Amino acid sequence: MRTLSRAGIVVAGMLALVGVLRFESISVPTFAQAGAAPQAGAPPQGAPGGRGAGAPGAPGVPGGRGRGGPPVILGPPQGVTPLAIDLFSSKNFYKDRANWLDKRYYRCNNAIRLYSMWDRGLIGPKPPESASWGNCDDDWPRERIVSPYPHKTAKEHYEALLAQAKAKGGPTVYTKATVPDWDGYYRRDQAADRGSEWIYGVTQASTVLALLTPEYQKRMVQTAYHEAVTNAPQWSASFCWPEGFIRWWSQPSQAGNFQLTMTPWNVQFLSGIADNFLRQVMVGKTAHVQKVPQWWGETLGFWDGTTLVTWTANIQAWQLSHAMFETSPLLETVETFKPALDASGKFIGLDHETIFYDSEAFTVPVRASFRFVRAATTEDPARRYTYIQCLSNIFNTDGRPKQVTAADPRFVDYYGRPWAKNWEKYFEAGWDKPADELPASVTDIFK
Amino acid sequence: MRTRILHATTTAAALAALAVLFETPVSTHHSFAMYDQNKVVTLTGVMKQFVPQANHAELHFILLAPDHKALQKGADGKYVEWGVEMAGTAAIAQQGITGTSFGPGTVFSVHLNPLRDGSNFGARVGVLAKCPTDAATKKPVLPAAGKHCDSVAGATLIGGTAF
Repeated sequence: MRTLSRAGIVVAGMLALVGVLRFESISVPTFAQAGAAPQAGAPPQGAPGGRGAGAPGAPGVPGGRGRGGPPVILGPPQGVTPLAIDLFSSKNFYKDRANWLDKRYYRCNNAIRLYSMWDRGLIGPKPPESASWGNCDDDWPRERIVSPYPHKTAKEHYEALLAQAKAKGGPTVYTKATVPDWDGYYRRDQAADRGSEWIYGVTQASTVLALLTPEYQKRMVQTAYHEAVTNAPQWSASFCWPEGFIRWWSQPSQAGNFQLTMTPWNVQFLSGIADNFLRQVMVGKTAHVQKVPQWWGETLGFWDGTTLVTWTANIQAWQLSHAMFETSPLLETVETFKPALDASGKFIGLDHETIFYDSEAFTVPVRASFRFVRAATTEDPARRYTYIQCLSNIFNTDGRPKQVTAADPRFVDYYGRPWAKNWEKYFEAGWDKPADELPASVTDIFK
Repeated sequence: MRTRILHATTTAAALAALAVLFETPVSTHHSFAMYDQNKVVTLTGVMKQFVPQANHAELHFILLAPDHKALQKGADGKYVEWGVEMAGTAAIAQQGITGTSFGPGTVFSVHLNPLRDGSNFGARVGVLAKCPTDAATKKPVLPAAGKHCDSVAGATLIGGTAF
């Protein structure tokens, strides 16, 4: 009773504070949307996987994990008639193909909102039917996503750019002394609209789906369904599966915050948050060496003046996840990196363009473009890349990823001599031996 | 333990609302939907192991018994161990949470969203309170029964100004 009394006082005090600060209740009703309610296409600051990450080697963002504010469950926008069956009410999404390209099928939620339905409480009080709507007017035109170039294949595109360079007397060949001074630590420019964050999942899901072939449409809807409805996300990094090439363009992977090392023969990008992304541009090579699928593919490149042109092929098929698409073994990219200069002509970063060619997954080549800002040069004494050894005790349990504890036989105590645990379990059972004790520093506090 | 959870659950709604005050954005590599984000449990325990994982560091600790005069043991006679995951090791180091500052024997209090299935593990919410060390005995100064480290004079709050 004493505890409850104290609890009551605590609750009263906190609720008073909450009231002062005008926080909304955790339990939220469904709100009808009045007209085109303003709604950012990107996750709010503080959302899991949200923006705001620094460049590699930069001081990390301290604190506990982030979350957005209390969820607001929105009803359909004014003037929008819900479908009779949508992703959240369907008993079998495979039967709904006729509606897959209708944004109402996803209740106008973009991929970011779909993958964070459960994490941010957008699924509502009676999942999945209570799932929130998004903003039906928040979308990108298809023309802003598809490749503006006439090329049908990456090889054709790359060879055309190489021919252009040769016509000017190129490709440019640099030495150690003359290679562009781009070394340093970069981060994606979050302020400038570089026109390509569709690949982060900020368009209507149906807009991305319309770029895919039927098989890959099916896979994307399946991904969206199991992230948004069944709450069974299969994110690579949860299980320490490979990140994979396509996730270099994923916002949550933070692969765009990289350490860049420049040499005349090899331009190396190193980045990641859950696992390491290592991309190497083999400058001057005329053909791919290992013609087998690789997690990061294999990248050739040449210089056209100060523009680095690359061609990546032999990429292992994989998933972007996060309510987005999968890629096939046919995926290849052509990328360009150009110096971005400020008004005074000072180098500030790189303008990057990627054309994705994947005739098995995409109906047309698509484009993404970013600016990467150099946040620090190599002289910064406070920065270094931290190599990531992905360790996980998350396992699918009844179909959903779950962190397991030492009580679970699947648990691996990576920092507690896991090899010895194996010997003790299988070869030392029943032995008379010293019992495992807590460290004296733990038990001694009461002595 | 039961009392402690009851206490925590009773305050859950208010703490959950307050949590947004103290949290800072970090990137995650897994969904946090496995945690019950409508429940915040407050626990005080003794550090057993600092797990310095790159993406999400963890503190593994043994609960204090309700009277705070021993370590909590379960019905099976084993110590009751909990774990809490936080941001990446490099990130929390910026707050002063390291294997050194949170070595074995460190007593601290933490708010966390527990796993939905009831396992003894959760995701950190907001501020950590670290109990001070007595200068003479070199041992941690424990909070009174029913209290947490923030109630101890000289306690260190990490990640905010109010526990």
